[in-house]
Amino acid sequence: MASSVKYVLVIAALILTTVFSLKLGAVNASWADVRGVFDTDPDAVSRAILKLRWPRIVGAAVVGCYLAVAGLLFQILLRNPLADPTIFGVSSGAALAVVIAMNIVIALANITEGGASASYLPTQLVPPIAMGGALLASFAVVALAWKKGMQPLRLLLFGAVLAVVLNGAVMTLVLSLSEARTELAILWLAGSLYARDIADVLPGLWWGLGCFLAIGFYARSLSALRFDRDTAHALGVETKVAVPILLMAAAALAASAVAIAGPVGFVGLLVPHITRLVFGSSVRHMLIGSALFGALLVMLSDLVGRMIAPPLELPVGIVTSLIGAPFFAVLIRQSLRKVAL
Amino acid sequence: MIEAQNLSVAYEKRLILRDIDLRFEANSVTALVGPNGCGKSTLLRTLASLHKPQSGQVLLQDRPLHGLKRKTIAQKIAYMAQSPQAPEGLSVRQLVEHGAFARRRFFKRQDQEEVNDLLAACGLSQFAERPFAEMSGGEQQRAWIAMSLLQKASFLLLDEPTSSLDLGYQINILRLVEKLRKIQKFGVIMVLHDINQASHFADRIVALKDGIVLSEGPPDHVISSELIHTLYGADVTILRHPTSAGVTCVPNYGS
Repeated sequence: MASSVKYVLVIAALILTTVFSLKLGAVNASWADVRGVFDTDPDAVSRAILKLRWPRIVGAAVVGCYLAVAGLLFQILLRNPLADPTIFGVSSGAALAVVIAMNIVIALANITEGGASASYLPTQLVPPIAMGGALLASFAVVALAWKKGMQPLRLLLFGAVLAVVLNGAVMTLVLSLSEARTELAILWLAGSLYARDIADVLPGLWWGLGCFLAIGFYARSLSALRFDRDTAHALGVETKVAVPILLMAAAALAASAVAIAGPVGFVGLLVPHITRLVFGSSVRHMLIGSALFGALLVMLSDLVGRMIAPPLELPVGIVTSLIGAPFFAVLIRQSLRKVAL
Repeated sequence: MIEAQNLSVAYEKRLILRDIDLRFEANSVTALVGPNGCGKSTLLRTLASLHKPQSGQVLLQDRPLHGLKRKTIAQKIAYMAQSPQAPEGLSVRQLVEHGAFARRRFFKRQDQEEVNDLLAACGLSQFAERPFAEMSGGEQQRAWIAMSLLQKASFLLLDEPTSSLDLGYQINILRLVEKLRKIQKFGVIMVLHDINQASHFADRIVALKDGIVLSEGPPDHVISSELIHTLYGADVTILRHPTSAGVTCVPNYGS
């Protein structure tokens, strides 16, 4: 099958998922209401759909797209097929920042006697705080791993170590919160698109545009970086420039995704491998394909999470983990077999 | 021309090469020979700017290598590692196309005719769309050479290009390089293990031991039973090659 046909199919699947995401959920809308969304003057039901479902569809697409592309970059740059944006300290850094912020707000509320309602962290503050934590943590990983340049293995190991430490701190802080707030924290930590507003998503779009421009500019370097270091150098790749820029772009994309939805696992790990199976190994196809499949996977997962037990919903991060974990096991088995050969 | 001036190279503070002065002309074939650990691969990597010298310098057309961008170097020097690692899942054509990295403009697409000609010259036309990973060792080696040649550099540096191949493919690869030099003019600097292959395919031999140049010059002048004994501790007899010009050596196994 030609790649253009495959792209058409994936995009068709994206449109179909969008339509069903508008229709299905805690309240099943009629087709007429879904159609009403595109009217110039939608009625009350259509407006409600537009207000509640549209932001999370866009959010899901953006989160999936960013995580998948970040995962692809990490896998190539760290020379590890099992690398994932979460290993870079991105998720745990974001989580710790958000949980610390929750604690600070509670402490401040107790001092100023602002009442119980003031002790909740305003939702619109969560994305920038998460972003700050994510970026800080990835800088910490790079700083710890730095030894005459960036070394993939050191980055991986320090990323894993930092993630464990930060997650421990997160758990300690979550358990020190009161019951109602623990629930909120856990919902965020599971990676959820619940009650996302379009304003949570928009800043991430500019951020992402910048990253994608940088990635596009260095796409051919990225392709050549898949060779061993000597060969990449000999081909003319300026690794000292290309690798840090691409790593920063990947960390920024992952941070941006985590800022919107909290830590959504396995997307960055899973999608590049699916893309390689479908589109082959050309870097251009891998980048575009990962972006599309990432969006599709998270949109579908969010839809599934909303449909399983309405009116309750499963956080999207739980759904991707439920799909991702078995896939991860298969992947490890396969790579072990390759080593055994 | 590549020139090593007073070149000393160290790995983790251990001195591997000491005060090397060598010149490599753009249209000659030089073989670097010597025992394991003599520094011949290190010399090759330093000439390709893959390793920093401790002191001294390498000049590429009279300009110091360390001041040049990798892209600029790659336009002049192609280097093939001893066992290069290929990305997963590429076809032979996709692999070879990476050779044009340093020459291609940002928006320009790869000139496929150029690739096709090169694949044909390397006898890879019928494998072009096949997965690289499924090729035999000899075919993979030809693909690596095709990739290096797509750089259109004036020097091709080869680190033991025949080391993992059977005798048939060893000769095949060296003849291929010889043939390609007639199509595309370039100089060759290669590390070779087999002194007889070096004698036949190179017009100059550089013999290294313990990080210094023991002897260098045309094969006929350099290869002697004394040199082989000093280099490898092996006892050999030097003969005129029965069917081609040049000398060859056969081991004296004793009785």
